[in-house]
Amino acid sequence: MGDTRADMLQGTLDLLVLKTLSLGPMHGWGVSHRIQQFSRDVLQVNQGSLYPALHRLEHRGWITSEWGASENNRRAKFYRLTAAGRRQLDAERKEWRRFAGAVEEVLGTSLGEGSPA
Amino acid sequence: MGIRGVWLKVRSLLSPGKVERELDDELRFHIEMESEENLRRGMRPEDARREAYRRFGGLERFKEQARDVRGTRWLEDLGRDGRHGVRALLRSPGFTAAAVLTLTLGVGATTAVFSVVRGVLLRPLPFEDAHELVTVWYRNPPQGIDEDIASYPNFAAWREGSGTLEHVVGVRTTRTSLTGEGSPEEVTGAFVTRGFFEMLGVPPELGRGFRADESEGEGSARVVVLSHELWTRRFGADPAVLGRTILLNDVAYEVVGVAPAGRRYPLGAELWMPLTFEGQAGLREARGALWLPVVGRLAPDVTLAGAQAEMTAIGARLAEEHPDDNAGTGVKLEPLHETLVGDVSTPLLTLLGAVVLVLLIAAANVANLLLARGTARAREMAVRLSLGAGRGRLARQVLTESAVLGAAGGSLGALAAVLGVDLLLRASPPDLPRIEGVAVDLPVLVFALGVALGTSLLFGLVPALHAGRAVAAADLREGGRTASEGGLGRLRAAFVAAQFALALVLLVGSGLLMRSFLNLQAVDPGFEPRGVLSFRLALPERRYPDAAAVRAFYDEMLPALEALPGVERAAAISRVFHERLTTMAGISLESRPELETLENPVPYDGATPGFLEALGMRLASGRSFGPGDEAGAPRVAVVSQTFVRTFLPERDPLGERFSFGGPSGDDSRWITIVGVVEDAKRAGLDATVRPYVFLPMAQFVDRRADLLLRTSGDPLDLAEAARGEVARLDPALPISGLRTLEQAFSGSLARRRFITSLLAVFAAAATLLAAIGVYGVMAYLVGRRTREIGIQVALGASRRAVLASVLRQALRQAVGGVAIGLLGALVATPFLSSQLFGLEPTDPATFLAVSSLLVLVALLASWLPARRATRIHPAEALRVE
Repeated sequence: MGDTRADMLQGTLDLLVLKTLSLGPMHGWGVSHRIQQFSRDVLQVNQGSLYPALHRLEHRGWITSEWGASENNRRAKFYRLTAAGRRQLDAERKEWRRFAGAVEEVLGTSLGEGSPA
Repeated sequence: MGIRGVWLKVRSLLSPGKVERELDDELRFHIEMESEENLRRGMRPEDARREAYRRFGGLERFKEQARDVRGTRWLEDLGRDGRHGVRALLRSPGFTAAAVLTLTLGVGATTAVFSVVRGVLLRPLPFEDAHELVTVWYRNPPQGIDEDIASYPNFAAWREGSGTLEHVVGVRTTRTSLTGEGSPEEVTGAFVTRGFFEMLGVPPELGRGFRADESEGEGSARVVVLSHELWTRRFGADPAVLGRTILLNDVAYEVVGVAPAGRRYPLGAELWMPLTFEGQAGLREARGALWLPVVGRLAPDVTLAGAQAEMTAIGARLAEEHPDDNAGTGVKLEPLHETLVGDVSTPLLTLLGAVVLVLLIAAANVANLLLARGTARAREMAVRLSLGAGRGRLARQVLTESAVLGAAGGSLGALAAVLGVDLLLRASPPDLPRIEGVAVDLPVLVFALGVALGTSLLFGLVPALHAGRAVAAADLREGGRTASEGGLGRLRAAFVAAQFALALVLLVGSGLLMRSFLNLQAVDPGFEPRGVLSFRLALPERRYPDAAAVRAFYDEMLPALEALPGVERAAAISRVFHERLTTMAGISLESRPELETLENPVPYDGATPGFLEALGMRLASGRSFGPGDEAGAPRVAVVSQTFVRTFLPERDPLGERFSFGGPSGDDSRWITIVGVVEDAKRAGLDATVRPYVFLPMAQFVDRRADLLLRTSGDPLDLAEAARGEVARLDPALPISGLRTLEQAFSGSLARRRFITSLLAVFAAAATLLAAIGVYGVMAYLVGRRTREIGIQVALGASRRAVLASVLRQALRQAVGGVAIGLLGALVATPFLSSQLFGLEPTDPATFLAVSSLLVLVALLASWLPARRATRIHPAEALRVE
């Protein structure tokens, strides 16, 4: 794996996580499951990268965490989007659109309905 | 990054355990959820969990990644290594105790001496731009004198003529009795010429300095500036002290100012007065009378060399203009700091060098300990390496252990240094300059810790590298011996050789100094200091206004003192001892008019008849003073043998005449020599003897004098009675410096004794450490050779042969070290020459003795391991791993 691809994927993962959390607070497993669901199983989140991503985002102040009880009454760490995170999400979404648009221009394809953006 | 990020980082630092546990919990939850999902999808229970783990991929590795994100990884690792290191050290208490103790001693001693060196030598003088302050010496090469005090006319000429010296000031120290409210005390003060406070850049804290018209006149200027310390101590720091009158030698002076705290020159001065010529107008014109020390300040942007060049020219000009007094003389500038501490810089730096050597020896011991430990743990390291521990990681762990050792040794060493400084100051000679600035403060503590850490890290590198190197699998086998272990043995032996070399240098230095000291003690002082009580009296002018009054006092005092039980003889002399810059005057000899006056400054003292017996000096020819030598009678003198040798060789001195100052027509100024005494070392045992002159006290009246009482018993027994007699004659007369003559005299040796003893202690410590080092290494080497020796014994070698072979090995090391040490000593000892007396820095006897001693020490230290070698049973030896 080249570095740039990892970076891009990392950035993409961050975006996915932020988007998922914008729908409401969730624990780590829930985030990974949700992304899988919504992408209709196209995107399989490498679970090994998910938690580092969550910690990274938390360090940057875009999400916060607190311990709580899960649906089946187990102790779990829940993550929530912060105001700064919401702003970041908007910015990144615009950026993604621009990027995808550029690629589209080059490739001559159009953005479909099922895009995760 | 945001506040949250910072908080998280802090949290992971403060409670790393908790953070780790939370991570574990989170992951566990994830795995559980995933497993349940798998179950729901229909997997078998045992597969469900495994699949969950598999999907996750590398739990450990990812945990590390998460930790990386936290960014505090290295700190956590350090903490973990540190704790691990502490536990490992505690598991081998013997080693740890030995290493820490050695480090403590080495670091403590070094830091203590460093503190003293820093406070005395390195600290700049407490004046602004202190490097610009210089002493202005009067040079007299024809007389062999390079640094002397000046006469007033010369001083004035220097001041007038110099453009490179912004200020030129004369400062004459004096002792005065301060009476009035409170108990009378003797304080040190100074008479100063114009511009003194301006030169120092020390504006008075209260009041003012001196006005230009107050100094150097012929009238009196009864004003005084107090030191901050005196003001606080005696006047309670009362600001109303200005304008008050105090009594100095019974004369009233008005307090016009207070100097700021801590910035005093001369060191220890308590008050300053303007220099005047009241009653001594002659001193103003006498170019030949040397009595005024001069200091100055370089003008801005002027270098010392530049100023020296100008002053040399001025000196040459004066020599030409005044050939009678100044012929052949010159001027020398010396930085003031150098003047004040120059004398002690060599001894102190010698001590510092010595203690650094001790530190190196101690460090070598610690290194040897570390190496020995490294060897013992070689197998443990090999196992860990084969289990996958990173090489770098392992090396780092070992290094951290050394660092922990260093930190412990450093902290304890700093504590030891505080104790050491206290001891040093208490044992130090009383005249060590600037000791008030010696303290164990933050820079010193940092130094101590730095030294300890540096030492332990440096010497911990080798075991660390050894641990990190790929150790062959063969090591894991029992009885494995690798090449690296042999190399280690050589390294340890090299350390011991180095220790011996260093110890040799120390022992040689110490030996030379000790012999110098003994040589000095054996010198005949020329008088008998034992059995004499001495104290100083200063008769104030107000109550003893003229020579007749002073004479009358002594005429009554001395017989009264002699009448005391136990007193064999009582006498008064202007001063018994001469300091380096004692007051002198030029003379001219009647029969040798060709001799220039100023080339012959001689110290002169008044003395009462009986001074010879009181001092225990021996008369070489002629007579001492008697009742006929009174005021108005023809003037006579008793001179020393050096005087005769210098000025009247090959002549019978008795009957020769001389006068002070230039030759004159006035017959009454001529003084006839009536006696010659044997030389006495009145300037210290190691100082050159000057040609001195005694004049009868009745003819040369001195208000200040040392009184001597000779007794056959303990002089201190007379103290009370003497005090009583003085009080009976004059109750308001303070006595100062009451002690035995022996105490006063041995004071001159005090500094030398201090340095010599200290160096001896260091040398002894160094030898002990080197001996321990040899013992350790020999024990190790014998251990290594156990199998070999066992074979030898099995093959028929006698015990004596085994002993001899072991001792030979030790001898080889010792001789090697001694040889290197000899070279080092030959290079180092010339630096000590200024401290030596009666022997050369390359004194062969000392070198030989010390070398033999060290070789003997090496053999003795190897004795025990050697004996153990002879006890080796072949059967056991061959079984040993």
